[in-house]
Amino acid sequence: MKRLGYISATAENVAMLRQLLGPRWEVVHCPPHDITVGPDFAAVIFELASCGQDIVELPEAIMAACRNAAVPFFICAAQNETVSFTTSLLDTIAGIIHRPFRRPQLDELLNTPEANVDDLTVFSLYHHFVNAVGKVLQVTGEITVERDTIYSLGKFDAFGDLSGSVRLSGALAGRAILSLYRDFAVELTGRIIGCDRAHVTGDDFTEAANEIANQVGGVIRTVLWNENRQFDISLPELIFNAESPPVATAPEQWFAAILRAENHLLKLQLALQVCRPEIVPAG
Amino acid sequence: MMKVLVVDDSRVMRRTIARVAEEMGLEVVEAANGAEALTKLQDNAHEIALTILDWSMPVMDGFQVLEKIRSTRTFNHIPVLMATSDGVDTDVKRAIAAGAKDYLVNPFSKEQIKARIERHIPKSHVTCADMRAKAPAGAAGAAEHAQQ
Repeated sequence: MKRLGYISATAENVAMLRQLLGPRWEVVHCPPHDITVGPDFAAVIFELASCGQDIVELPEAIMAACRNAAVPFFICAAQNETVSFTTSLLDTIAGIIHRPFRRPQLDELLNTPEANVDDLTVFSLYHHFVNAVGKVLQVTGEITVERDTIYSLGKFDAFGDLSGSVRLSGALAGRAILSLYRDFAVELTGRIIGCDRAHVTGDDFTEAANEIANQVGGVIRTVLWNENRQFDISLPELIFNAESPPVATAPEQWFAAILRAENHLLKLQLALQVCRPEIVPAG
Repeated sequence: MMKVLVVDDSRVMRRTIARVAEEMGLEVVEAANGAEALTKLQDNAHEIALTILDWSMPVMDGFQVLEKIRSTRTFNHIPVLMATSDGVDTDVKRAIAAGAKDYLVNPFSKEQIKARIERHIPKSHVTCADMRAKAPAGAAGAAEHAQQ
């Protein structure tokens, strides 16, 4: 189990971080003015809002302590007008989780039988997925997409009128479901297809969903390729929620992100599992 | 008018790229698969200035089409820009090694498409064509004259 020091003024944020990271990480709540950084910490996150008036000296003191103990130090920004605290925290965690996966360390991990990379990567994959969906919608639909809220939850929650669901198999297995309201689905499809929204048909929904799935799959494939993992992504299944709302078939742990695009909300829900790749002996 | 051949099995992608090229004053020829692309190349060999070729297509993938283009004397001079849905290094290296001039990794923006087209089609062609497309009839003749 990896130990993560979290300097936060509030126990609620610590609880949120524990929930996000799951049982493989031990999140140690460190009071801002009384932290002892030991080499057993994988990293220390400093929540900027926790330092009160000592906005310069306290982070510098903790940073120095981390440097002395050779422990990576991350600052998690406070909420501002454009970035929520949760988003900032997630970016910070993704940065930490990605650290071990630079090529040489990854090779070492993959060749160590007891190493469990699965639990370490799945969180960052959620993060990549959310980013990829945002980027693809932004590029294909020419629409600004922002992350609004990100959280993990035990069960799947239906949202909106229309959902596109894909299944993943192979080294990355599970399900991804993007849900939105019909009005925005029509608007977005029109932009992706390049036609007026008045002319959008059911087939266009399918075509736009295929394009999104193809491009998001490409982005994730690129991320995973460097980690020697290959997977297949199914064609999207379009679900009209009023007719047959999407349901989770297994008691999976779902992760959800609410995205905001021009005052419309989209919900991306993911239940992913990283399977250990086959290690092919060299030569 | 200079032509760009856009080869992609996705209508969405063909139209996305075509819109950018058309805005630049280029004429677009579309093909939904490799066989159709080769026919269009054969028919328009002297007018096509650039081929934008999707990597993953059913039946004949982009790599096979690229090899065919490179081995056909009639149109092996036409630069090929590969469009890939993932940025896996080995695929990109393979495409470049096979004779692709450049590559685009999805999701790419309109600006990226435009920049790549400008890189591979001499700017004078794009600009003059653009001028002809936008200018009234008399001015188009002047643009042509200026080009000569």
